[in-house]
Amino acid sequence: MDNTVLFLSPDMKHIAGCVLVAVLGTACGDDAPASTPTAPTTIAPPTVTEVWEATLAVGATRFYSFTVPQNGTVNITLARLTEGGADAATPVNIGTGFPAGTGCSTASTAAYSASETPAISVTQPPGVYCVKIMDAGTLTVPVAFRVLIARP
Amino acid sequence: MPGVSRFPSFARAVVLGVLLGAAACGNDTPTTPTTGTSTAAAVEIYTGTLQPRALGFYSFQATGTGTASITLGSLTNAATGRPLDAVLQIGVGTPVGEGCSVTNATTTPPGLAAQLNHPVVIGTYCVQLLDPGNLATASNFAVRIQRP
Repeated sequence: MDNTVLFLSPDMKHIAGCVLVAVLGTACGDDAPASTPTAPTTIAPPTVTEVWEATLAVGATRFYSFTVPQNGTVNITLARLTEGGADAATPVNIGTGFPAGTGCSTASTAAYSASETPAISVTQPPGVYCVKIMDAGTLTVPVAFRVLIARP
Repeated sequence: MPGVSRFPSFARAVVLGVLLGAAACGNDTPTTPTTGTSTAAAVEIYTGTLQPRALGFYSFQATGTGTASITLGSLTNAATGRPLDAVLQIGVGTPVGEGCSVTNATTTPPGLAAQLNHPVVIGTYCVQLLDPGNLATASNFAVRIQRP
């Protein structure tokens, strides 16, 4: 019997079997598309601004919790940082995350000085989040701060 | 004969492939849908030191729907370790600003049974412990939070 399949090497035969399985797997199933398209996610702009003003002591950490009611953009701005009433040159660490235990769990923090430009801009799904401000180890006196949290 | 002896091997491979392919097809038997998002309860312990007339709070995530059970389980004099039976307020709510916005609270001495039960869905909550004026000295506490 002249069957070219008989002349395949053992390795090729195994490969042929695997290809057959793959072809059959691909061929079966519903006629529906492989992936169902999802509706585009709406990202709401910030419409509410919460103002957080307090004093950060040397070596201290503070955090502030806020709620994002819908998927949207959250901008966090360190609007003011003063010591003794004068602008402070020393940056402080700021990060955002979610309240956990007795603190605010953040993936990372970075040093920021006061600016009108948001230090952090993130898109968040609905939920409760927090902003953490902490002495980066450089404060020698307490500083007063104003943080703006703009959210949907 | 080598060719013949290898043919059954290949045939077996093809048959196996067909069977595996067929097994991958067929009707997808529907499984019983699960209702709600109830999950196994988890326990978190909130410990610390409470000053007279002070408060503290602890945030936790409910990962399913169910009941959060709060137990003020231990209260001792921070200096001596002596057990105290002072009545404190425990409350549950949502973290807001620099605090915990309490929506359900009770006053209770420490005990072994949950003193506060609160229905929760998936989300972030907080437990607040407050001394309404019954502590005379700094006190160590332990609050047990069982949540879905």
